[in-house]
Amino acid sequence: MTAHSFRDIERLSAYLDGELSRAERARLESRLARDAGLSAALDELRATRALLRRTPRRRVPRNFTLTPKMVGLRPPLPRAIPVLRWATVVTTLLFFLTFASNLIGSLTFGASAPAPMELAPAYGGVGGGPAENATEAASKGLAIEVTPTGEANALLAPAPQETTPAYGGGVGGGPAENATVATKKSLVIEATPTPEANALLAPAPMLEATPTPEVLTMKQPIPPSAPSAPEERAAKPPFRLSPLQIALLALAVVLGGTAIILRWRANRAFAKSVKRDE
Amino acid sequence: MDEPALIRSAQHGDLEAFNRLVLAYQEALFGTALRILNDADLASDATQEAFLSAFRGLNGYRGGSFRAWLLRTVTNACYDELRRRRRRPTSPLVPLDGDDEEVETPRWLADPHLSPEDQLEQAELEHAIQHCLDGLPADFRTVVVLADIQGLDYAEVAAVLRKPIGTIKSRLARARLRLRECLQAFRELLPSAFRLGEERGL
Repeated sequence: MTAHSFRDIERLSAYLDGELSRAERARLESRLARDAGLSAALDELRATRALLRRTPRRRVPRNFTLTPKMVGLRPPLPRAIPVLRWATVVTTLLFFLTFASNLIGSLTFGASAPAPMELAPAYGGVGGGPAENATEAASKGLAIEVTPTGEANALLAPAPQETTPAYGGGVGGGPAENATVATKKSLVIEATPTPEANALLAPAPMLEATPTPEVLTMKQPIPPSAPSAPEERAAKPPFRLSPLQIALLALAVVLGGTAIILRWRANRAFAKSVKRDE
Repeated sequence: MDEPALIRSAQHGDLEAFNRLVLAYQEALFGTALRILNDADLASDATQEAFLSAFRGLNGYRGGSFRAWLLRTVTNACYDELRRRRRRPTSPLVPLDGDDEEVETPRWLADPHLSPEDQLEQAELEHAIQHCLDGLPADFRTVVVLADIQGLDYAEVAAVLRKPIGTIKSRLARARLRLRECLQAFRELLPSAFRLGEERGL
């Protein structure tokens, strides 16, 4: 057998397994008929293969079936969860979108804001307050500036009180009340937010409070600190969510919360079923 | 249920369907691992690992012999184990008790009607074959285990090992040649086994 080349052994081995082509097989068979040594080599290979085929089989020591725990199987996902998940994402994105658009809107508003601010002094020092109020008041021949602080009002109050006692109570109220009360008086009052300004201003209405139907403008030297405060307020609108934003936020919370609850319940049910199986 | 249907169900995550496939193929996978590794515990680990990775990678199965596909996972697990063993060569291959006796008592799959003599011969035959298999390089051993012990054809062995059929043919011939020489030494010990083999061959 050792006399045979490895190519021959390879052919004999494949011949045993029926893996030779028809032509190869025919050629080998004719050689086997003539060559006793080749034939003996084939017999030895065949005996070896037969022995290997009789290798005892061992019984498996245990079953190799897999448990859900082993494969880390995830509980079946409730069908609503992917939908809820996407809805939550979309709602949250919309919320931030409205927020972003509001931010952009307020920035452009901030740029155009100085225009009405500059006009305001022409109406007699109406520096701050809502723009609507100012024009409304101006059309009635009146310009009133109400300071936001009670302190300033308290300081201001005595001044008109001396000239017109009936007016006294009105100054402290909202801009609308003030406007109605003040129209009757045709009085131009400028109440600057700073006490120093007030001190300067206080005597002025008393001296020049003349009931004229015309718009009376009082050219008062406005202290530099006075317009700065309202200007800041106009540039930075108070942080408030629109009803749409509130609705979107609430929707996102509800959708997300529902998804979490559904998943939690599914997990719990799955854990129970796994425990039962084991 | 037929095999393709079970495979499809298992691919959709049906563990019960997969476990039916496990029961159908666990003998083949464990037997292969046992002959490659020559250690029942390591073979068990490799088999379990193979079924686990098979379940996880089941979507990678694209038709063909499912047995070959499963055997690929177990031979890969065996090669991983052999690499580990090469890194830690001091670990014993066969578990021994205090008296240096093999703890393992082979349990035969063969019928229990075997006579004590036959059982002894079975044990000796297994020992002889395993001894000779261990003397082969891993690549040759795997080919001969798949072809001659598990009974795969060349195409299936080629699919398991992802090697050309020519390579399988060559490795199998070389492995048989070397096994023939090795087993000659056991000829006196196993007269009936050799006789039987020759009778069957002729």
